[in-house]
Amino acid sequence: MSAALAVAERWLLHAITGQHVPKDRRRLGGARVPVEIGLGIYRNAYRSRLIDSLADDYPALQSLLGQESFSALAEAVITALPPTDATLNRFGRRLLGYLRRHPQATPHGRLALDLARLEWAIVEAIHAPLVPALDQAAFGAIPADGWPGVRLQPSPSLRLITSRWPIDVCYCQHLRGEPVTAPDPASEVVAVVRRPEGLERRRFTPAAGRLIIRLTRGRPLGEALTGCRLEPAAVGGVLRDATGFGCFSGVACQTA
Amino acid sequence: MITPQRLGLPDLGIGVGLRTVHYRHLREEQPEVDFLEIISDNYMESAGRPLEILDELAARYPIVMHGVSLSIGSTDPLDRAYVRNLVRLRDRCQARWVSDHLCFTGVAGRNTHDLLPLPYTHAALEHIAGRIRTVQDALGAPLVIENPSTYLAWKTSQMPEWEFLSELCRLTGCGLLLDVNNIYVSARNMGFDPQEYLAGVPWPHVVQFHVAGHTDNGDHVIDTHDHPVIPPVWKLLGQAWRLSGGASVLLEWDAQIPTFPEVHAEALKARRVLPARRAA
Repeated sequence: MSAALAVAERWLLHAITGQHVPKDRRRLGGARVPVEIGLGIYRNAYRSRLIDSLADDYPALQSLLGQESFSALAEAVITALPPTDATLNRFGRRLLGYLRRHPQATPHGRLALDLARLEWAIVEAIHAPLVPALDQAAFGAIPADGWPGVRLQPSPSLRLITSRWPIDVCYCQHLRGEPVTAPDPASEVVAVVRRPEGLERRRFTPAAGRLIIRLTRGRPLGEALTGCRLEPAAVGGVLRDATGFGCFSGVACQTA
Repeated sequence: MITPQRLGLPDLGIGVGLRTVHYRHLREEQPEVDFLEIISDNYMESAGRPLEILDELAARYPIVMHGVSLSIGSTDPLDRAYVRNLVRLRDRCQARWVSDHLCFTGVAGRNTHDLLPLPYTHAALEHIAGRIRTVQDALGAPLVIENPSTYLAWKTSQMPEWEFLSELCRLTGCGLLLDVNNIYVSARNMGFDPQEYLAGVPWPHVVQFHVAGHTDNGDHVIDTHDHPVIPPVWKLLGQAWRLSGGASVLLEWDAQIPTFPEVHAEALKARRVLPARRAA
């Protein structure tokens, strides 16, 4: 490796990604374009590309915050957590990490974070493998005394977001092309899953969501039901809904 | 030893860069297109939808791979996981070749996701040649290197870009993806004569051409890929194509992207500057 090349590359990296254009630019010259314009092109391209990438991943959040505030947030993310991965596909996760550490970074606090969680869940689901969803007929093979030991395998693309805000309402506003506005608080669990026909989202009540989350973490049904404040009569309906939606890809029954 | 034309790789015709906004059209309308070029990086970190669509399209169209993050000029260690992913993707979609840029995208563990200019020194040449050989060993095939568009020059450069590329080809046997729009853009920005550039190209190594639109700001030009190709760039393509003896031509359009038929029609304008036997 050439030491001179390494020094030159590090210098240019800082000249392009740093907060300020370096005053000493003696390394550069000989082009028809003045050095300050050339450096400015690279500095602008660096930031624009990353901001555009975040805007692609978080369109509803961008609408909620407005262009100016979103760009300011994106600039803060780029400065605090600059990209290190070879591809841009994972850069969007850094905005989520930034909002978790700096909830005051936007005037919408937790709502902005939860909406960002939903949008990143959608990105992750797009890149997750597609496997056949569990057929409800599989439940027919479970003996009556086997239900407490039932364990369900989550679909690889399933993402569940618990929020005290109706974040799916915000996302629907974005999908309809309307400006996203801050709603009144209302707790919900949003499930995102990829199916052969495309991405699907479904809202569940907090109690139903708690049960589904526990099941996806590998708890048997009997244990998952403890303390999730779900009416016994509603359990079958929640399981059918979640299974029909595609939350699960497999079922196993352990009898005592 | 005589290097065969295009390193023995096929002339695929006139192709278009695959972009997500065109997925639906390509899948539903199945238009006749000579070949598609994918941005490798968009498919390497996914196990989901993008790969499924690529599988479907690769069954119908010849694919070539074009990456932006190999960072062949970086002084950081070569990202071997990235190279393994390239090989895996190449095998999956049966890409005819794999290309990336003469640049570095990051250093010191950072990544700018931009194609940063290198000083064209003998030391850089030796460094990059070694890395190209490593990638070629993994690929079991020539790596194809594209000339970048540049907006800065290093005072330490010891040779012009075309000489640097020519030496890289000689030292490694790599291929060249000659972007004639980048030649035009860099010539305007750096102040060299495009004809001098063409005179220095090692033609038997040229595997593919790129054309694209750019933004002309008067005192400088930016490679924005958001406009139709201008006549001087088409003219350069015609000259380059003849000098090469013929190679695949691909149009890149990355911002404010029109419909697929419009982009494809723009690409097919290449026929106007190619010899009659090719245009037919």
